[in-house]
Amino acid sequence: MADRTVVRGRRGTPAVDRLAVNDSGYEQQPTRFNSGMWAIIMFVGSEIMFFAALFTTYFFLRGKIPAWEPVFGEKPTWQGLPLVNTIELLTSSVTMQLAVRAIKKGDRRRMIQLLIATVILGAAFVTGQAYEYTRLGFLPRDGVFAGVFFTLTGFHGAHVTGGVIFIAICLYRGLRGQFTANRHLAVEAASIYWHFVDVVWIGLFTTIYIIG
Amino acid sequence: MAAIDTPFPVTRPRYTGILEWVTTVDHKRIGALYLWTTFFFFVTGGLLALALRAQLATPDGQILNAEAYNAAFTMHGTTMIFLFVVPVWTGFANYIIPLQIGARDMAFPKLNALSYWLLLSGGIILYSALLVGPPASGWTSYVPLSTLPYSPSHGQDLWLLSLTVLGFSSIFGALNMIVTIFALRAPGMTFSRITLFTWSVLVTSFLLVLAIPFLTVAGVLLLFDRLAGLSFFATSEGSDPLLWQFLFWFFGHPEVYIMVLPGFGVVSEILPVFSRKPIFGYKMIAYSSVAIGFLSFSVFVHHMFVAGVDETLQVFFMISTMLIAVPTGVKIFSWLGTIWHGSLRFKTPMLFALGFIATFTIGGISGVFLGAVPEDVQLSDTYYVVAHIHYVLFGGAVMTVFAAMYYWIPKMSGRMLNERLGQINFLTIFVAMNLTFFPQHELGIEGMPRRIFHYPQSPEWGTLNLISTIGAFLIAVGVAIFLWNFFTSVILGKGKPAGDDPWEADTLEWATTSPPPVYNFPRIPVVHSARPLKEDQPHT
Repeated sequence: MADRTVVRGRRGTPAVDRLAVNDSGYEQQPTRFNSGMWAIIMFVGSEIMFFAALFTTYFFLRGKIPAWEPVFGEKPTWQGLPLVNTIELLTSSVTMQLAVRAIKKGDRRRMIQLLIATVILGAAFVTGQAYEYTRLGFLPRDGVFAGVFFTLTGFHGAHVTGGVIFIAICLYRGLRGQFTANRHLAVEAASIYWHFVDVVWIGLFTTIYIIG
Repeated sequence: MAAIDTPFPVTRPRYTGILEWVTTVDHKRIGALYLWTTFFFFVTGGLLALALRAQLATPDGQILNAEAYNAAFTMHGTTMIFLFVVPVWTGFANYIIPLQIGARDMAFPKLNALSYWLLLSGGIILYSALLVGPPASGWTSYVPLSTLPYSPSHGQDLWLLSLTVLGFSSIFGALNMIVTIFALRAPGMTFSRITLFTWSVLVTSFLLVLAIPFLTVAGVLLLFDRLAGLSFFATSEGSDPLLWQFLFWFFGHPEVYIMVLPGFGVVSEILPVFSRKPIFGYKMIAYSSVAIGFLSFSVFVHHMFVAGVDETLQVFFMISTMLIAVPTGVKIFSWLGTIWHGSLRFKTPMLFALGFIATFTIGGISGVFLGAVPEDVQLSDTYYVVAHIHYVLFGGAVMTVFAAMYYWIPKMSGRMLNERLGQINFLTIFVAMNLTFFPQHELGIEGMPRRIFHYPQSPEWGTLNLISTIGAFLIAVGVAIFLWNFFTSVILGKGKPAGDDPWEADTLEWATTSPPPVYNFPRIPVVHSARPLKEDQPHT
């Protein structure tokens, strides 16, 4: 087929030969970020809009419905398990950032230790959230509040789970001896994503649990 | 420089025949798959429109019953918007943008393939609804009509699922496009030198990445309501139908610009080539695309003026809506400035581009009218709105899709489309389009509501509707002429060989052969201006 042959102009000089020749050794514009970094930034941008839509839903319904509580059971409060969960997630953001700093200095051993800590804290958050669900005393279909509560925290929990898997893959790759001071895109991408998930939780914790 | 004489290593595909297409990650093949698929859906949606227009040819048509009519306009709108206009631009962008910026492929070729296969899956999911009872609550699927008690069929669930899948397809495709434009431009291809099509696709891609999540959330919440018994949209529990409208239109208005901005880009490519002049106001056209992108997020409430939103809010959104006419006007006048004193060649792509300026201007102006609150309250849900959106979507998007087809198919296939048939094609479409949609303005002003399958006996409404129906069938003739032209010129190969640069254009896609080789360019060129093929001296 035509597209597997070498370019050859039909009218003398191929048009491409009239163009300046690139012998710089580079095929692309030098950019500050590489493709992977741009991709994760855009992906998180899209995710921010996803949660923006969920928060819009929350505030819209919160404003419409005077009795903002579940039909059965108690309205969840911030004391106790949610607070512990918050502290876990905030700490895990710190360990994640320290892991990125470690690998930037080329210290893979320290990065691995910090990633293990992050995975444990993230998994603890998901477990704590699941345990909290069982103790609430209401189900997603028990009124508007219950539906909103489970949907918002559920989507966030799913994102935390995704983040834990993402970081676990980084950990596995670290254990395999990958990542150096110069090449560690996945770790940085995971950290951007993880901070995003953390910030969303601060928003959820404040609106749902503290303000209520 | 011995390396220059060495051809780029030719990769041998692992599979042949149909498997080669199924497994392809080449941006040109994926672009072609997009174009084939979306054009198929265009024809499908068009046949549905013919059924609708046939029903409305007389006041009490007997072709469709009420349920079938509702299902037909729902499927027509959904197909045209989500399976044709949005993805057809993704198809063109996929094929053309890497060539225009001097890249070998998209940034993430496998993600690109995923976007396409998600599109096809979304289409199949939507049409599988025909097996279980099609959705019938319109392309906007307002609640409470689309909630379980009023739309008990699983077709509505499939509609929601399909839109979620199509949303992921669009987000991944757009993300890929942004990264490609940011990171893979050839050396020297700065942001002040990329083509205006690239600019418009860049803005469109940002809109997709940022707006689609609202549709996804709206769809998922409604699915939760319908399938799991939650009550996000249950008025009995104290919720309000406005929630759906807020979420939907926050996505829905940027969506309008998602559909039409790439068309602006195509016209900005075609007009200078066929006027034999550089584009007038390159920077202003690029900036106005960005301005439209920002403004498009601040106008969505104008879809809800009759839904009971606060008066202050109405005034704000009325002003922001009218404000969008400013950057759009900047574009129109820049295009006119490009044609001004040009030495025009009236080839088919140029005819469609000029036709677009006329029809889109009508659609844009009726949009300003509709943005005014009192006008909007009067005309909401009448045929005036139908006329407006079709002047924007047919007169804006479809005209430019045809322009792009005639302009770029020679590059994609290596064959020119027949010029005489092309001119007949343009004339038919242009006349038919105005015949179909212009009378609907009058019908709307006289108060004919949209989305009804019968209308009162009245000599005037009957005549206007009949004219509109004749126009619709004439559009079908126009599309058939295009298909015939494509079949004879490209499939049967009777078209003239295109050569590298049949239109004497000066952007990078014309620097390589037609069709381009898998690796696009033997060597990535260095670019020194916005018109690389017109550079006098190669800087070797």
